[in-house]
Amino acid sequence: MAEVKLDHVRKVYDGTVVAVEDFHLTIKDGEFVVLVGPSGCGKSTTLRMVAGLEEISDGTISIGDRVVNDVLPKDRDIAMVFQNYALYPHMTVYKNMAFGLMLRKLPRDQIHTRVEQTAAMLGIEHLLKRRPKALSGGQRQRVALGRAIVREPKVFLFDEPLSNLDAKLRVTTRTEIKNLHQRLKTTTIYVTHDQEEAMTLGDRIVVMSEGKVQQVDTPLNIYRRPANRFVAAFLGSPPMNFIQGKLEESEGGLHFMDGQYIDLTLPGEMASRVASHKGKAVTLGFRPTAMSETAEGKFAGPGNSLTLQTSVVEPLGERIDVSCTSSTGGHLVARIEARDDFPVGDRVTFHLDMSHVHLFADGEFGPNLVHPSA
Amino acid sequence: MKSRRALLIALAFLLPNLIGFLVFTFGPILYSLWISLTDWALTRQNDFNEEPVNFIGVENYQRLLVGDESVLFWDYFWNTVFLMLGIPIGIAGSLVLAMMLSTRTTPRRLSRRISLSTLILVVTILASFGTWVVTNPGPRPTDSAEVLSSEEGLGTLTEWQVDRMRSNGTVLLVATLGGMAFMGIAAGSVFFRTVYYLPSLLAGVAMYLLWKALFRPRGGLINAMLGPPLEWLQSAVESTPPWLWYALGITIAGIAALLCLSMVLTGVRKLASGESGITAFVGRLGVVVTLLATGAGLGYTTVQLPAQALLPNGVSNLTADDIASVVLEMGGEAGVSGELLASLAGQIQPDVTPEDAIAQLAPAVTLDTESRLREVVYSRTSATKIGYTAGEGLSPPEWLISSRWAKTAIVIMGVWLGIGGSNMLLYLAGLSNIPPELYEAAAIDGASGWSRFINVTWPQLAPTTFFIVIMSTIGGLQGGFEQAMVMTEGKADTITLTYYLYNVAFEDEFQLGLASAIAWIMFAMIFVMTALNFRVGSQMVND
Repeated sequence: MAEVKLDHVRKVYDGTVVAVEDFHLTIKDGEFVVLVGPSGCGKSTTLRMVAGLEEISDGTISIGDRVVNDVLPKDRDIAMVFQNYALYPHMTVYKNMAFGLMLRKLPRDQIHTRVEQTAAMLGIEHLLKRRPKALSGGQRQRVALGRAIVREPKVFLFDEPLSNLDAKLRVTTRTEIKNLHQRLKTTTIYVTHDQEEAMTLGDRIVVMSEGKVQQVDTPLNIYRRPANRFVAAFLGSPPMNFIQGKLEESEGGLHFMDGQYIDLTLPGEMASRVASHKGKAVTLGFRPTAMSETAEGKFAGPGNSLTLQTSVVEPLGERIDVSCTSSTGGHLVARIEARDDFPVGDRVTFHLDMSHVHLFADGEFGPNLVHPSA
Repeated sequence: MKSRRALLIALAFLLPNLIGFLVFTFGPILYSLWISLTDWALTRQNDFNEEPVNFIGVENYQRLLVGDESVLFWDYFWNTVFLMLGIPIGIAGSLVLAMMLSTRTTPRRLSRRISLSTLILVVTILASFGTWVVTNPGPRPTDSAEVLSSEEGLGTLTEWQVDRMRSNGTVLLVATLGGMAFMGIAAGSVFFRTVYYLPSLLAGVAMYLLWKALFRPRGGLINAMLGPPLEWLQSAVESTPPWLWYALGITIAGIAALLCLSMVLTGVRKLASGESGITAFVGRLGVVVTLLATGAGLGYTTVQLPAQALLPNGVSNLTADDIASVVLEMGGEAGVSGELLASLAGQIQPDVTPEDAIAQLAPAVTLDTESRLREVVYSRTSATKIGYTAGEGLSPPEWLISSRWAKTAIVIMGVWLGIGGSNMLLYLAGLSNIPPELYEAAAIDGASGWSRFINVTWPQLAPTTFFIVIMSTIGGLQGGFEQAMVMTEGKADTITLTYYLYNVAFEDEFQLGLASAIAWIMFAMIFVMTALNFRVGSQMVND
């Protein structure tokens, strides 16, 4: 059990390529933190620096009270689960799990009890005498988990552990990992590119892009108040809808206009927050669930409707996803109440829940103007 | 109906190759099996001579394995086995080399800083320096013209030329090593990979000729390098009392024995406490045996040094008649005609030392004969004289000439060839196929150095090693022909089974029957060895 502290950590390859830029985070004892981002964003590099598989170019990493920059991986008291399991192919499952303990020169009977207990916990007792190649993907993943757990480390490191599993197994193993964490309460750092995994697993999520931390917060906070356009686009499925436009003042209020047909009136509080961007180019963002066909309740007007050309309808059961095109050619998705006779191919007017609308400054990483981060 | 048609079409497509295989490979193989059961010798049964070929059953096999040819056959078989002793060393060496070359040897920054032009400049300077030294022989001394050797095709060598060759060789060696080191720093492991593989691109015969030159007893690079240390050792032995060397030898062997004892005890303790498995114990035993053998060998050699070095030149209890009889005895063996030897033997004056007698014979016989003569005479002079053939105290071996050293020389060359060749490439490929995550998992588990090698690298390379061992065993059992042909002409006890087969089939009587029998015995041996390899090996690979 230990706190992991990354103090302004940097990783530079060959003196020029910056892989991780100024990563500064304290992971609390027992916390489950997920690093998420597109490939090449530096999340794996960060994890590998914590593991000691990658040198730290600048800054310090401490596990517990100890700065581990120059500590060998084996002495950091960590355990890692790899994407392709990295089980030793010529060793039995038992030996795979016991190997680290044997190298630590633990007494044989103690190793035996620990391996047996862990195997029982994961339901792999019957596989102990087999070799990895005789196991299915899911079983291998369990053995890899077992190999990490049996070490009883201070920190678990997961590097995309589920991406080699099929969709169904991924979901069940995900739940299992969360269960295990709740039982073991070991500090965990988990790397994934899958936003759903990040949302479901993490106590806190670190969204990264291009080597930089974009936002650190709880899953729901990140979902509700993305710090910038990148985070907003990355988390959530289907992703947030964006419309490019401008903030203009008319009829005594602040309006968002895309220059063609869309003209939305910003509610009072929001208008006062973004007043300084009057006349500037901004991006409007809203989740597909913040759209409705009917102007009732939170979708009540005025000034919150937009007309879109619909093209495809994907029924999901309770709801349907409607793919639409805006007048400026932007692609949007609306997730609305299911109905059988939706007029596909027609122009349909939707109403927005203006309290869940975001405005971002221009650019890919334009900050959220409605919910500015502290 | 349809499947039969498909089969016929498939056969039609296979036919061109199949016909070639049947006519040129499978047919001759079967035919040779029949030949091996006959007494066919081309000198007796041929188109000009109507004598029939007789079917004699397994008589050829019987002659080879237990009959009148068996002495030669088994002698040549053991020669073949001796030459194969280098295989494991070569495999281990190529693995070590591949592991060294698969890691990056140069920090990237340094190699970037050295530009191509600097590289070319340095190499040019080194090369021109070497060329200048070689092409400028310096003043030729006027008085020394003593002929030292007259090897075929190499002309005569004087003391002066040998000295020049020695110094030129040293300069070239230093220049080459310097260039290598520089290129290595500049280009890193890529350069070394290329350099170590280069020998494999040379034709075999060219390589053997080069090594023959290296192994030349006088003036060859190897002995040129061995000479000074041995001279130093000689003077060291001469200037110290013998008991010092006895004590040193016993100490070396003793230390080795103590080390081994402690290693075995630690191994047993670890095995008993369950700290390490049986595999680790066996590995440890292997190291112990190697260490023990090395220690014992070093110790024995050291104890023998005074006897070697202090043996007075040419002291012998042989009379001139004894020498003459030795000379006659060697007549057939050395390929010198009996009459010539008889007349030579008759010329040996009484009361000469063996060295003088041999010197007297020297101009008339080849260097080879002279050397073997010396060997026989010395073996009768002093039973303690082991290892070194010449009568000058501790002198470098007469590599390809003395039958005591020729096979060792070929093994040394084989090890050199085996380390840098295709085995290294196979291991490099095998190493690059090991997933890096395994090493990372091992790093987190705490395996490093030896345990990392034993638990990750070695098992992952098992299929590669398996392949290499099989191919090397087959090659080894078939090997030694070119070496014997080019380097020793079958002299100095270097004949292997293939060379023997060639000799029986294409020299003297052209005994095709006997030669085919040799071929089939070799086939059986290779088959059994390969089957054994597969039985033992596939178990290891699957583990």
